[in-house]
Amino acid sequence: MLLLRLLQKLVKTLNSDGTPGQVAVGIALGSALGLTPLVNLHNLLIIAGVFLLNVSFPAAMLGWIFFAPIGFLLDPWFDAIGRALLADTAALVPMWTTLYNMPVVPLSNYNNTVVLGSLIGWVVLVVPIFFGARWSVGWYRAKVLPRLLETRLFKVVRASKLYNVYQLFQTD
Amino acid sequence: MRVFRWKAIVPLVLVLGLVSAGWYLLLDSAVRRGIEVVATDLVGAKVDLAEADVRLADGSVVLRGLQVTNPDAPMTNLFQVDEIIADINVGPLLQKKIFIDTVAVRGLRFDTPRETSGAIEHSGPETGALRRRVAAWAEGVPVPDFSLDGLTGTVNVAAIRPENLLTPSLALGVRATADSARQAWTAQLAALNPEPIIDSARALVQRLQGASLLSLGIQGVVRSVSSVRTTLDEVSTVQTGVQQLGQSIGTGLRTLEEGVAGLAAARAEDLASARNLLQIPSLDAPDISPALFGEVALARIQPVLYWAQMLDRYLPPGLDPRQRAGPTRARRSGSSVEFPMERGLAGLTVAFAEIEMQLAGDGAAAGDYRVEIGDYSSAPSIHGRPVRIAASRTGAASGPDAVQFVAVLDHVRREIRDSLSLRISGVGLPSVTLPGIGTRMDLGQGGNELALVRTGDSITGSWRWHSANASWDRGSLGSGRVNDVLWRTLSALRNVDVEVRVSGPLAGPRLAVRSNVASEISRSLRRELANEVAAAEQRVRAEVERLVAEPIADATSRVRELETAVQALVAQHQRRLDEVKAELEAKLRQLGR
Repeated sequence: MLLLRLLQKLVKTLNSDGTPGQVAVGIALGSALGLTPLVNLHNLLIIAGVFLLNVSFPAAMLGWIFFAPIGFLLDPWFDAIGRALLADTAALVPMWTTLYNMPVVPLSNYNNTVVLGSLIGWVVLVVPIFFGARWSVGWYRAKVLPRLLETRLFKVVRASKLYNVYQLFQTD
Repeated sequence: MRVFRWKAIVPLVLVLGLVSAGWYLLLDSAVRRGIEVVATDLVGAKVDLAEADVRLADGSVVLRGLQVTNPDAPMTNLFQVDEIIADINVGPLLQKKIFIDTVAVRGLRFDTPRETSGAIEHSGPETGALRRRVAAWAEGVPVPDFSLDGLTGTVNVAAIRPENLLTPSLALGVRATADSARQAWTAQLAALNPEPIIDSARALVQRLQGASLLSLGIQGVVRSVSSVRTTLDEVSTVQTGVQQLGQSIGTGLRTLEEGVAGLAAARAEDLASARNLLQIPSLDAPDISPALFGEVALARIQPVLYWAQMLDRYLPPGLDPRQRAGPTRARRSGSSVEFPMERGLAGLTVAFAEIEMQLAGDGAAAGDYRVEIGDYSSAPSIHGRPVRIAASRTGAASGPDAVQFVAVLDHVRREIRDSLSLRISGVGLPSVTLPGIGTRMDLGQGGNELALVRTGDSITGSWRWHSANASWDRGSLGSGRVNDVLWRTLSALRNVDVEVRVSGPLAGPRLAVRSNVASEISRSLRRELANEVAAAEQRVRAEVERLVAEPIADATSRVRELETAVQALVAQHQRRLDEVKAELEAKLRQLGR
């Protein structure tokens, strides 16, 4: 039932909820949850952003689900990037030292090579992800959706009313 | 279109509230699990914690039922603690730093049995690495054998086989090197053969005999001068070649001489190993002490070296960034880098800790102790003060007691300075079965003094056990004259003093053992068995000499012959080239007039 609800919501998001831009921002923010280790302070900010900003909540979930396996695959590179920045670049040591001795900042685990590397990776990728997602949603709505509407499965999904719980998070 | 979704604030607050409540409810188990994981990684064996009670509002943490497995004995705990109560300063937690004002450790016990094995399946490459390094050092420390069998039976010199001796093979090597050098140098000297140029120069000098400006004319003189100069250059070239070859031969001959000198050392080594083979004991006290107490000394000193080096991990000097393995999670752990800063806070600071410790067992050392630790910091350079540790005894199970333990661990500067002093009197000292003899020595009540100083990567220290009421059990010591002498000597000994000294690099210090037991054994055996020892040694020496003398003489004569032959040839070439060069230069001067 939960899967069905999620599927309904995702389909609705892709089909009509919000503009392609709102969906794309949701995916871009959600990708942070997937690309970086989840239990970290920056992801709390991302989740707050997904709640408070007028972006597509289901799209953020979609971004998270889609980018989580990619995050696992990219971990060796994230580790290498983080190591290069934290351990191998002497010029950055004063900055890291200052941050490490400030209140709250160390709780972000920025001093972990995978956390920092993946966060930098997400910052670099977030703009391409946004534009890629916006184009993809536009293309989907224009080209794929009309054909999907005629399929049996799509009609079944649309018939369910269980996703009303998510009404609060619908984009305006 | 609005940017903010204000109506989502309430659900967000609810979600954050749920997360906070979950975190609060799971904090105890998270702390318990965190301590278990980190400590298991550090120790290299399972660390169990029964319960953690964290009260951030009160700034208190209580840990109960801590068991730390001994990595070398998984069914035994290295130590076990009933309760640890810590008062923490909450402010530094915002910087992810732990500042503990006071810690009270209750019910610390060592070597307690475990119900389940504490071995871990997949240990990291660094897990147990230090313990393995210390064990490897101990295995590399030579502990001589002590046996008196060679004095009690017939000395069978036939057991000394030439193939087991070092000298014959080394001598053969020197001889083979000399032979191949002779071939090489002869060929090089032949290639440099100066005879043709010497003959040609002599012929030129002969041809110009009596020549002058009048007889040759100006052009003839110019041609002759040119010919003489060309020949001079050719002579010089050959001369340089001979000189270089002479230098090369000199270097080679020196190497061969060193090989010959090394044969004398090999002969001494062969004599010692033959003596060991036939179990002819050395009766020098400095040789007997390591044989009797070497293993005991190594067993006692290994944990000291292990913990002395382990301190580097818990008290790293300096302010350089430090890397450690990241947290265990589904994603890759990576590495976490710490960036200590002067006037900042260390990752962990313990202002004061009081430990109530119990030593189990029936010995006089068993009882209750109080240990006080002050100024512990995981970054001593930030804290700026050395760690102070002091221990005293608060209750004894039996026997007299006097325990003094003081340690100052100064890792504030780059050069580490640790000092440690332990003095215990009236404690039960260990019983030791003397290897090679089989007699059991029970030291009874006595004193125990350990002093250790570490400066940088060097360590100096001594560990002394002394007793005035040692008792002896003959054990497996057999009968016969030699063994009876030994037993009379040992059984009369009441005062026993054993001292182990370490000095040198911390990673591999030298070990020396001194004991009055060895001195007494040496003295009595020399007095009673001097003739037997001398006769046995003489037979061994004669047999070794018989087997090594010829190869040594052969190798030495080869090298000497080679020296004489090649040096004479080189000198002859050089002399003849010098002569002809002088003649050419004289002719050149004559033509120039």
